[in-house]
Amino acid sequence: MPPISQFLVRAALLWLAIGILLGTLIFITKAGFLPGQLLGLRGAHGQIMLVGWMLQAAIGIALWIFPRLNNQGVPSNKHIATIGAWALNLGILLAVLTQILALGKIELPVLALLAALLELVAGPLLISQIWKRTQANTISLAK
Amino acid sequence: MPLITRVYIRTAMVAMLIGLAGSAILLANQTLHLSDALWAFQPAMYHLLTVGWLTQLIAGVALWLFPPYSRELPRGDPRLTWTAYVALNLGLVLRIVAEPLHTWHPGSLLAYTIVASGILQMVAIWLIILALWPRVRGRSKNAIGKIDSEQNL
Repeated sequence: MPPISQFLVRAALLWLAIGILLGTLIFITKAGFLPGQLLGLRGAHGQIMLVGWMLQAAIGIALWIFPRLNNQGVPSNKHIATIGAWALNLGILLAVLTQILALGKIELPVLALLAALLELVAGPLLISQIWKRTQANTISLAK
Repeated sequence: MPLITRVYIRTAMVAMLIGLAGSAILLANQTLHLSDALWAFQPAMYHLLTVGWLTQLIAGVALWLFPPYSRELPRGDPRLTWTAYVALNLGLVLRIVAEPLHTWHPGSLLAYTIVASGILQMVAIWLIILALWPRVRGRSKNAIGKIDSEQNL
């Protein structure tokens, strides 16, 4: 597994661990055992599970198992992939932080905007490393 | 494909079928107005599709494809993954039953069932992470010096 996939998959597993904890807290709140304020974390839970876990795990595994281009490493451009991976995770972190702060009535729209921008940038950077690798197998089965 | 993966993937597919059927009924309910009580199933249906289907599918495939843990235990400690499987699906079933019931008739027994369902799923996910974490690694050599598998590259 190339280092970039290891980074993305490990980060995805960490977000999964945090996301399921938040989800459980929200669920216990719905049952009436915790302050209703915690229901405000639903957005953060959704963000973590969909982007931090599923999207990130899928990209990490795709970078690992998709067909490799001739004479190119994985990823083809390590800098772009690394910037993409960090942008994605920083974006999620800021998005979650924004929503946690909002629970305490602290509104930081600049932080939310930055989170959105980072995630917006991360997507094309990471996809650019996978796009060309979605190709038909050119190796003959007879060989 | 190892047994644990087949079981995870097949259960994920069952969850997807139930989640899709439930979501289709809810979609029909939007226009046909069958019953307002049906909306109590909405969070559980989303949950079936995201946890029961997607997360369980990813876990099953990862347990199969990720670099082996060791020669003796290529998929790590089976107790972790089987306990996780039972806890995850028991938690899911409890949620599907208890959450709508609690919405219609709130009660302490149902509230505790909801808590149990949440904790079961959380423990299951943490166990899966525990099983997968050491397998997220690059090329490694086993005891006799050969590369573990082609997928380990």
